[in-house]
Amino acid sequence: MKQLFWIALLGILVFVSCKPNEPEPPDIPSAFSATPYDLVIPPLFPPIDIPADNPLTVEGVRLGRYLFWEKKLSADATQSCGSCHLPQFGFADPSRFSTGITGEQGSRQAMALVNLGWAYNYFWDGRAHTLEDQVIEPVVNPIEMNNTWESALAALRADPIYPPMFKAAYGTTDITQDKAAKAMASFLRTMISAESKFDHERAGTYTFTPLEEAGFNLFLTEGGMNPNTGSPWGGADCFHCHGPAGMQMGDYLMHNNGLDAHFSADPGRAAVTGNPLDSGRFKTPSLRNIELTAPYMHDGRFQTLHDVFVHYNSGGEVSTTIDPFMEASGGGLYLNDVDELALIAFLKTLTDTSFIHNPAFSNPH
Amino acid sequence: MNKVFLLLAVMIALVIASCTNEPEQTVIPASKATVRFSALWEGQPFEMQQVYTDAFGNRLRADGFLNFISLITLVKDDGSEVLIKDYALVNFYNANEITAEVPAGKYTTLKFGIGVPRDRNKDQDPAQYPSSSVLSVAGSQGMFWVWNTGYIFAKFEGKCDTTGTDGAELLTPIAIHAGDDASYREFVSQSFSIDLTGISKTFDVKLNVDQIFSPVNGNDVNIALQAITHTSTNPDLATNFMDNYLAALTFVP
Repeated sequence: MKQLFWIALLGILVFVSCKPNEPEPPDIPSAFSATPYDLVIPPLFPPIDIPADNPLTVEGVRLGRYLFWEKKLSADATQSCGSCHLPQFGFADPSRFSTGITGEQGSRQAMALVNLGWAYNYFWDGRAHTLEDQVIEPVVNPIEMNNTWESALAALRADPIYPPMFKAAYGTTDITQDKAAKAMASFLRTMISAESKFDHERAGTYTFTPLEEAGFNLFLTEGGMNPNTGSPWGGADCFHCHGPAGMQMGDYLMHNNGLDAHFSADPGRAAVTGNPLDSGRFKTPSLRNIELTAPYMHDGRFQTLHDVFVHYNSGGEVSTTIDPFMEASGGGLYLNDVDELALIAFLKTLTDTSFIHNPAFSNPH
Repeated sequence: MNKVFLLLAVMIALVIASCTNEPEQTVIPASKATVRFSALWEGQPFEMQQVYTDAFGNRLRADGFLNFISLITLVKDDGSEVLIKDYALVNFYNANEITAEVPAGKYTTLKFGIGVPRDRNKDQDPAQYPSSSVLSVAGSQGMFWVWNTGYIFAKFEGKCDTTGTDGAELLTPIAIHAGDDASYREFVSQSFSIDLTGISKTFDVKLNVDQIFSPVNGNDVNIALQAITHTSTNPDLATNFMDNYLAALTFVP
């Protein structure tokens, strides 16, 4: 009888050992699952890249929205992200330079927030490559929120609204910098603008006015002097850097658009790479909501779209790093006042008022 | 009793055997082909941001040199074709390598396109591709104009000085953006006979950049005369650049 027992036991072992290898259980609480966020990709936009370790969830986006507008992230609890990225100005700052909590000002303009999920360089010098990395910096920047993440997290832990929100988003009340950054990045990815006149024109539900149409044609036409004919091409040549591919209106690459001949005030990308040939190069932003996001350029030097037009029409300052798209050495674009009116009329078709008034992006506090 | 122990021994053997996951077959090494793209200037590695003097005496530097390479294909001795890679962005100066497993057998030819083939070029929306594709908005790294004009096949950007003044700053822009269907070129290697069965083999494709900026075949790319083309703005320069480019490729099987 005893022998039969051992035989039976061995028989069971044979069967058990023959089972295929089971996958290791994931290292997360098995009972937890946040609600997947149904991110709608607008027509003509590319697919959006969501990091595998930060899936978009309803609870994560909600938490990110609260954090975006949370003044307790700053050292004296007076500033949130939304303090310098104001909705009515296309989530940019109408001041040339934003003022931090110490009263100190930086040397660059707060960038407009729009369709960031499709970008791949962040900040004017492209020093961050993910939104998760980007959102960390303003909290600790001395000329912005001037805080430490330890202190910011302590403030969140002490606020009764946050532990349950973190638990809803991530299954734990453990509030960390990583989770806060992921939540804010998730929120930013939902900030999609795709309801401008331009979007509707592309979709066939709006017809450009003749002036807007003329502006769009200028936007898409080569500019500067045609050396073969001795006559200007007649276009504004915007599309090389602000092309409509994927409806982005910006290539997010680094270009020197001829603002300066020397770069001692701000070397731009060169400050990140250490390469002098990156001097004066800054990220090309999207032109979406450009009507709302004055002043313009990395240092907000131009107050109006007219100023911007005058700059590009001049061709900019010659330097050893100026982008070849600029027509500096060819005498500029040779555009006239009517061209300017048309171009600006087209640029205003990129304004999306439903985006700036979207209650999903407003201050929830 | 002995039968019981015999049965036990068989069962133990079964347990041990059932726990072994190793396949009992001879491992045949995969056949692999690597195509390595690199660029040279007068026989030396071509470097970005280094100043060179071309055959016309112009001093120039490249700040970027990006190229679409398409349909990289090995041809077998029976005439059948094996695709190594459909589309790639190659910058040449980083010695880009593209590797693929290929069927065993003898191969005779390497061929590829410079640019994006007609059926994937114009009237295509790069938004249709995920960003992992080099044909996508982000993946194409600025190598796309607009819908009707398609992809930029080869983009050579930099600065030059054509005054002949020693030590002068390089301030004149070079922007050669060759695209449009007419700029597509196909490289077909000289014939070879290599059996790739069970081996890994690297094929070297070298671009002699100095030969582009020289009067090869009478197709001058003289940046003192013209250094900017977006193809439509100066089709002759784009054509000469692509013709010289094709002629400046060497292949080492």
